[in-house]
Amino acid sequence: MSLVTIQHPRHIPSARLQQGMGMIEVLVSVLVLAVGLLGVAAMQSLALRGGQGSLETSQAVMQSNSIVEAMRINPTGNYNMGKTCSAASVTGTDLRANDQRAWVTALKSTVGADAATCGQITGCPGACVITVFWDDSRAGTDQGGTARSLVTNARI
Amino acid sequence: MIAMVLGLLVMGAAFAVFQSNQRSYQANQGLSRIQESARVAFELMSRDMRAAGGTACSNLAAPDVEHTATADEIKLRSAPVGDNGTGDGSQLVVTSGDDTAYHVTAATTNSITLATGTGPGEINDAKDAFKTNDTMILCSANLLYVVKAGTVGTSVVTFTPATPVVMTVDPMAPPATVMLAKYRSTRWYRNGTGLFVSREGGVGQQVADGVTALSFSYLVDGASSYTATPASWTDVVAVRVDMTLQGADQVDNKTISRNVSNVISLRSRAL
Repeated sequence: MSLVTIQHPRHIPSARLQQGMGMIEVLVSVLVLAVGLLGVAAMQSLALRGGQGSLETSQAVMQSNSIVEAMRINPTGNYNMGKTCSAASVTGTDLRANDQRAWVTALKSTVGADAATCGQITGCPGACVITVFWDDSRAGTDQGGTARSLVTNARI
Repeated sequence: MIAMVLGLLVMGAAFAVFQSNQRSYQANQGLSRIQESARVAFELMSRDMRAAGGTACSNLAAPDVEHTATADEIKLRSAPVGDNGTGDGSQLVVTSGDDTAYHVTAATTNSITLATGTGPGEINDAKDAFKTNDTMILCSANLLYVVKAGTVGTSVVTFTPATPVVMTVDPMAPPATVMLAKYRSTRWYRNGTGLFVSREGGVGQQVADGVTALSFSYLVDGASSYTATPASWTDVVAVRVDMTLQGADQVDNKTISRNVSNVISLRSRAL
């Protein structure tokens, strides 16, 4: 059993009024779309920066492992060095100096080529702390931003 | 009319967003591919190189003095890394014992019996581990031979050539130290833009894509720097791998390219 209700036809606005509504609707939709598109663009750039940040972190992990391996092959070399941001500032021609220089060069070519990419080794050989610094401000500030660092502890 | 112009504007904007979306997708995909290739190459190559020259037995185990060492024995013991004769650091050949070795309970000069069962160090069926014509390392604390598998039974594996003495009667090495393991020979090389690996001289398998440069350099014990052409392969203690990777698609007429480098020490030489 169903109840049938008959609706009265709505009042149809005049043609003049309808034209005005169409204009406002389009303007509002343009505005809404513009805001939406801005959001999409922001999301895209965030995704790109996130991808780059993730690659840089991967590279930093690989470089940390790399210097640990180099130190293990030369256990008597004292690899400790303060925060070094330029390969040219490492002096010497022995294996230790060459390794350190190659490491800083590799950091620059793999993690990031800017001035904020640095390496530091302390506490060797008993409790080595290897720190890789790099600028990750593009990927956000929550993980340290400009002064992002990755710390690895190892014993030689 | 104005509505139409605005509408077209909106459509144009939507199209522009679509295009930039596509480009950002390509850039992201390129980066992810690079990361994936770098990681897989890093993990798999490192594992092979670390194991170079390693066997389940002592480093001092060597073939009997009366036995003429075969090419495989020389490679395993003296030069576990090499460049396949290219001389330019573009390829790397690594030889080692497999990381799974099986305990031997009895032996003759041309067959060995494995401990079968389900306990530790025991194998359910020797056919699970070895096949006819497999290259195997037969070693104890004192002796090491590289042999070829003949017939493989549930517990008995025959091999050629025969050992000069029965492995389990060596006075210098107790029978408990006798092990049987597969011989592993791995060649890493680049073909086109692919990173390939060939195991046991077989057909190359592609591991990673987008590799535009691959070079190996070696550290000789006592030297102060890495070189692509070491004077003595016997004394190589570490390997440095440098790779250049690039993404598949072009983004704004540029290809995304990143460098990867890694140093790996040979465990049998370093520790």
